[in-house]
Amino acid sequence: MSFSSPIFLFVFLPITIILAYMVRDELRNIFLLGVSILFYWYGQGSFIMPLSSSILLNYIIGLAIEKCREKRRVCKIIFVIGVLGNVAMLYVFKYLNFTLEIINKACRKNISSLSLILPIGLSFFTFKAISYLADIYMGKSQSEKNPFNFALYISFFPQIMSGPIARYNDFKDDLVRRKFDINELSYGIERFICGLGKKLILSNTFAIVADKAFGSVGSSELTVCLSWLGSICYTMQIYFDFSGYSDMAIGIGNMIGFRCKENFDYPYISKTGTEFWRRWHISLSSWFRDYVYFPLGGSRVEKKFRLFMNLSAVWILTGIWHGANWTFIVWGIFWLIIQIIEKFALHPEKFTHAYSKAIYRFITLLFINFGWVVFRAEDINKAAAYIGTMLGWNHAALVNPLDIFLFRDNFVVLLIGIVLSTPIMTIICEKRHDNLVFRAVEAVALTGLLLVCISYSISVTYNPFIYFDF
Amino acid sequence: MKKMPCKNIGVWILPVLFAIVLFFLAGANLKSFYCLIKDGKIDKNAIENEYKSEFYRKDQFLDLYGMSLSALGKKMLGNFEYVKDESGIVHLISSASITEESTEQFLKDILKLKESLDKQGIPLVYVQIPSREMEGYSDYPSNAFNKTDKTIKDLKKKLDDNNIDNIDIGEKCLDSPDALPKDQFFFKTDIHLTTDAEMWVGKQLLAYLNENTPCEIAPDIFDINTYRKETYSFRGNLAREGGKYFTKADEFIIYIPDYETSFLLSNPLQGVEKSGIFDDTVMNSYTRLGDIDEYVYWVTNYLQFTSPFYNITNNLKDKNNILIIMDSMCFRTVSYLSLGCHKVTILDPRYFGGTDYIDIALKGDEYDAVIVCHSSTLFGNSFFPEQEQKERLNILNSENSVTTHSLDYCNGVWTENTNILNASRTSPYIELSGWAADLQVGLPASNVYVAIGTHILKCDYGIESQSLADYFNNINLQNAGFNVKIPMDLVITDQADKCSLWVVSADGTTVYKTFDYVINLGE
Repeated sequence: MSFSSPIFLFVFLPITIILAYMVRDELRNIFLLGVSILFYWYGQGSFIMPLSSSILLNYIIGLAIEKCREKRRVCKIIFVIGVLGNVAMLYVFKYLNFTLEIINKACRKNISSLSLILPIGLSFFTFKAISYLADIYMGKSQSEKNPFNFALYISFFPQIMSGPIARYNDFKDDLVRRKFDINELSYGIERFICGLGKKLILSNTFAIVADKAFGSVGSSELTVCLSWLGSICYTMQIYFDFSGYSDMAIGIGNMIGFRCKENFDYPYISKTGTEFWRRWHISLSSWFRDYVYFPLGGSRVEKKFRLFMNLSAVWILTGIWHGANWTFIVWGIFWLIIQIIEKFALHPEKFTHAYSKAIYRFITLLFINFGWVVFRAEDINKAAAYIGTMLGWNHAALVNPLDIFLFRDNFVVLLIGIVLSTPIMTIICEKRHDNLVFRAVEAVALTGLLLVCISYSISVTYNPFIYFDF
Repeated sequence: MKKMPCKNIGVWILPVLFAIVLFFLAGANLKSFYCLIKDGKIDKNAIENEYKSEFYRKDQFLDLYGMSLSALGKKMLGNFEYVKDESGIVHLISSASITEESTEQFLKDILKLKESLDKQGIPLVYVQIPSREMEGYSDYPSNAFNKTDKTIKDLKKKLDDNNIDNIDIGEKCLDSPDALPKDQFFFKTDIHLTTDAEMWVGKQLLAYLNENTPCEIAPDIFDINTYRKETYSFRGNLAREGGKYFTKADEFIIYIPDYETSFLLSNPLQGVEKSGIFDDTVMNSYTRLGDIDEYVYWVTNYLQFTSPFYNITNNLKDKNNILIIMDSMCFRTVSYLSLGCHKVTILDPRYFGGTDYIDIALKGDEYDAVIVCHSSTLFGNSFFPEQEQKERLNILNSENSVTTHSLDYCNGVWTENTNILNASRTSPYIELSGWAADLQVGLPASNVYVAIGTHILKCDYGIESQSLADYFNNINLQNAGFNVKIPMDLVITDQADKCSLWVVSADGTTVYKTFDYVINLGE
């Protein structure tokens, strides 16, 4: 069930919030675990074996790693088994059929694909589990002795569908030391409502144009203008969809006493491609940094070739993580190339001239936009065709009446999207946060926004959630 | 977004307001949620959709949604469903690729009908209702959102080439000095024409009938000054999803004869027989409804919606018999036409269900004229589907007993996966519903029929079936549900005690014939 569905808003959420505070302290985590399992079951159906297996496997492995810490070799073996177990589950459900497809094409075989349902949130809870084991192995964290607390960490319902990928160290304090805090509650509600608005009002609106454009690849309907409009709308859609979801996840967590790190930091104001990945899906990029890049040596390697290999590993894996399709791999390689150019050649962070900074900021936005085209396309051929149309290479018409209509129809929403992609509103609100009148006006405005979001939730039928696919 | 701890009471305001909204609406909708789950059936999609449709104050939330869209300058409603032009007229967006084939099939059907009528010496005229996107009448470029205007032009050329008399109302709108301006011709919020527009269409039709057929119909039946007028605020089928503030409401005018009238409406299929004055017989007395609001669908205050075949007899007229084959586009025109005729027989092919009512009607009575009139939006499918389907079934040459269906409900009662269909002989029909698919290729079937007695009836196919798609983990099967109403008259007349389903493969070349279902008629 998605956070924007009426069943979640008016059945699940109120009951969870009330009982989260009414239940006795010692039973709160068990209650939240039950709620999380129910949430997952409602979305996934009866197929919760992967989640329960992950919880069981990682709980036992975590304890075993800690117990064997003195015996380094044994500890390492257990850790590797744990990681391989997690990766194996991810591979089977997410990548096995893709591998079979490659083998069939390469070797001209006809191996049947398996009928496998991708468990919701598999990529997210698997990465959580791996980070947990890695932190124990590296001595950064203790294992969780209480199985219910551990299960809650893995299955925590605000985060299970689409992250953020919370680290155990950031989670464990809240497992044992939560208490009612009106500031946290108010903040959580504010985040939740803002996330809901981003998702229902902005992201869903942009999705309609993006889907129209990307669905027109190969037809005369896709003009140069529509291709650009579609790519810009998709750039907006993916940001507001994912950051909106993250806002809601963080907000719900805050409402029930769990604090979570930020997952987005206005990525579209980035000055460089490198900076973009410090602002976009922060929990994922920091995961790859801490558990792939740094263990491989990071940038503190002597040879540039080794640094190149480390970066390649990170970016190809980042692409692969997003899905079993060549488009994601190409997208990952695309960002690898950007990183290499910036690190080894351009060094845009050292630009001093205002014009060169501005130009490179614009170029970065173009990189981001083109990257999303590859990310969104169904396959490489369609990605190439779409980009070809954007660049005017496909003999596509420049514009048609539908494009003008769509641009005018979405002009206001685009403007709002551009403003909200920057921290302007946050800066304005933060300065006045201690002002009672401002707080009152803000509260009324947010309540109004909530009512509008509810109206969208029950009125619209088109409500895609992109990152659920991962 | 960074949180700043607030030291004053202001921090309580938002949580209080949030709690009020959340818990109030949760409480207000608790009963509907309980009703959904109390039977223990948990179909998530059905629960979500039902919960939304029963939501507390749903209409007010819909209005808020429409207001929000208007504030954002949006003119498109939904995911390419409707678009509002500068005049406030809502247009249906259709991605249906209306092809040369669609009008070809229609032309074939009309030619076949003409051939049959020519043998009987009965004149035929086709009345084309214009598209809302008609060039010269729409703010948007013609064919920007659907291809109906182009299709109408293509069809007109074909009709002219084949010497089929036709009245192109759209052309007359552009050429006639007394034509109505566009914002008075089309409803803003409904696909149908305004009442004044239908009266004007009636005048054009009347001129043709009086000149080219044996009909002699008084011209004043379409003179609005001879009627008592009632006006109601109306929100039609194109704007319900946008609420009050996305579009302004229309005015629905009802003209009521201010003189003596006496009618009989007979609909043997649905067991309806009404007699009395015009308002109570030809119309359905909506004006006497207790609770009249903008959402009363006044269009269906006229005639018999969803009925394939019925007669209106004017007891005060002794000549002019007309057969009209139409959809709902000219309900009011035909209603007022009946004031000048002895008998008007109305056929709606969309609900024929495989029975050739045109043949039945023509054999049952003599007519001075036959009129065919339908909406431009129906060109995606043939207007006379049954002829085409019968021909197709005759050439299908392969049967396969692979089970590709489930017949789940008979007259709303679950069949419990048996082959027994229980129905009462006093019901007007036997309604069957379930799903069917071409599981050989994992795609929906191309059509589903029910064979009963000597008849093959086409089922409504393509009904939502998300649970099926989930079960087979195949999103192609999201709309593989079917539904069919078998007239009880037909069952009894044919003494049919069994029926079977015919599921046509996805590529349309083979038929999967299911086992027989036994019909058990009770009292």
